[in-house]
Amino acid sequence: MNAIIVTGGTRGIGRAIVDALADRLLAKEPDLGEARLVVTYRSEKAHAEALAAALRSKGIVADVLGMDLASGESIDAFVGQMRENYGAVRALINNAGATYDGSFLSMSDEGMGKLIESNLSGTIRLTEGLLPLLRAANPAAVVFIASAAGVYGKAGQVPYATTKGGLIGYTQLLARRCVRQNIFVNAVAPGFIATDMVAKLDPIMYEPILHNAALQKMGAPEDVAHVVYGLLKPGYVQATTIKVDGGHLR
Amino acid sequence: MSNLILHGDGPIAAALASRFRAQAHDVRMLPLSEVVDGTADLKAHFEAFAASGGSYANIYIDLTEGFDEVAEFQADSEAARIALERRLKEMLKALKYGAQHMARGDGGRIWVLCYDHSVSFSVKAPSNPITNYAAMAAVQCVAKEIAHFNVTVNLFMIHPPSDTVEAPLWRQARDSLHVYRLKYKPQSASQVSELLHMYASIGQLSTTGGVIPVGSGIAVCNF
Repeated sequence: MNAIIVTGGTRGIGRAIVDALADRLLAKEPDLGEARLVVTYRSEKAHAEALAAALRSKGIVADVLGMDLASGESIDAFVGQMRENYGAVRALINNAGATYDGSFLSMSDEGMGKLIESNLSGTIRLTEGLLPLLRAANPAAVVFIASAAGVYGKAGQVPYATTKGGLIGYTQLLARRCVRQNIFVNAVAPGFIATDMVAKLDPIMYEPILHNAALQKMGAPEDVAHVVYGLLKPGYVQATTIKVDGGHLR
Repeated sequence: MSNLILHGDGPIAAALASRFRAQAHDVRMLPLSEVVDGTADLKAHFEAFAASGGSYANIYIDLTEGFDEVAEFQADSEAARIALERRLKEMLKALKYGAQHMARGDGGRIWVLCYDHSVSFSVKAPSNPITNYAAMAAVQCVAKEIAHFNVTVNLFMIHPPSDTVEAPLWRQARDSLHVYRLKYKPQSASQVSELLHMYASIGQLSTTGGVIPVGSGIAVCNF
């Protein structure tokens, strides 16, 4: 049995990706083949249980498993589980990530370091661990959820943007390593998307930025999910980063 | 005028230091601590320098030499990942403590030096796409935050200088690009350092958060 893995899939953009995949699996989309959804969460068990119940009610059996990108042991244990339970990984959607925002000049070295360890290094560790299973799927897809901040920068998000920029670079590096292995590696860089994370912000933080976008509005998690799904199909898109940001004009 | 070059082990840093010294400018070279041996302490260095009345006009964070991510990940992805983690932590610390130092003084200029990773498709040269994109994102963010302190931060994306690549490889690369009517014109480290020195000499620098391509032919940043 093949697995389709979505990390950090219980809320926000990750949840929209999971829902989109569930619908396509139910519809038996030939591009995905026979596969089982595996969704990871970090700490919020209630969200995980709610997701599992929602998927069950749709008729989808999924594994909803805990995994923390900040812990090498947790990542390795998850990879071990995947190797034990699945013959191949058809798709890996690296969505999980944390933030550490604020004034750069007053940030702690420790806080910055921890974000690099989890968002970037942890994601790379997970992906490298799953590479043998991705190779076995033939074809397979890896999608990294980066950020518009990692493409053109954003004040107050230096470490976060650094990790997301790093993922964009790793997308290119991995695609280069996977040449002729039928693994499609790409990234998606969302701009302001209406998630719980953004809902907590004062509108003054994002309204001027939305004003600079061609569409002049916030995106929906489903907008990102739609692009991610498109990247799971084998094709001629490789090693690239697609911005889903409403057309920022800068 | 005092200048600091961090991790400046390559030919570009050496040539740049020579140019500054030829003008009787102070140049100090320090390792990016954990990239080398974990002994240097940037924060302490900046504090001691400021306490002695010193102030840097230019700080260069040289990420061109000493590592090759594509080769390292191919050889041992675990070791490569750990090295990458250390390198980016040190880069952020260097940006932070350097910017703090300049913000507390009269301002200044921070420059990050990277080798254009796309060149390695044509010639055998270090290719560091992860560090490069991480550094570009960091520079663009930091610039937005510190401009009001009169501190600028820009990144040079440099084609590896001719001195670091065997001549036949450049010829081969040039010929293979003929179809596009774009040809590599390899530049020496000395020529590259002249350009960097020119930027340092501009009286009123009007760019910050910039990614500046340096090299003739196809460069990763020029489209």
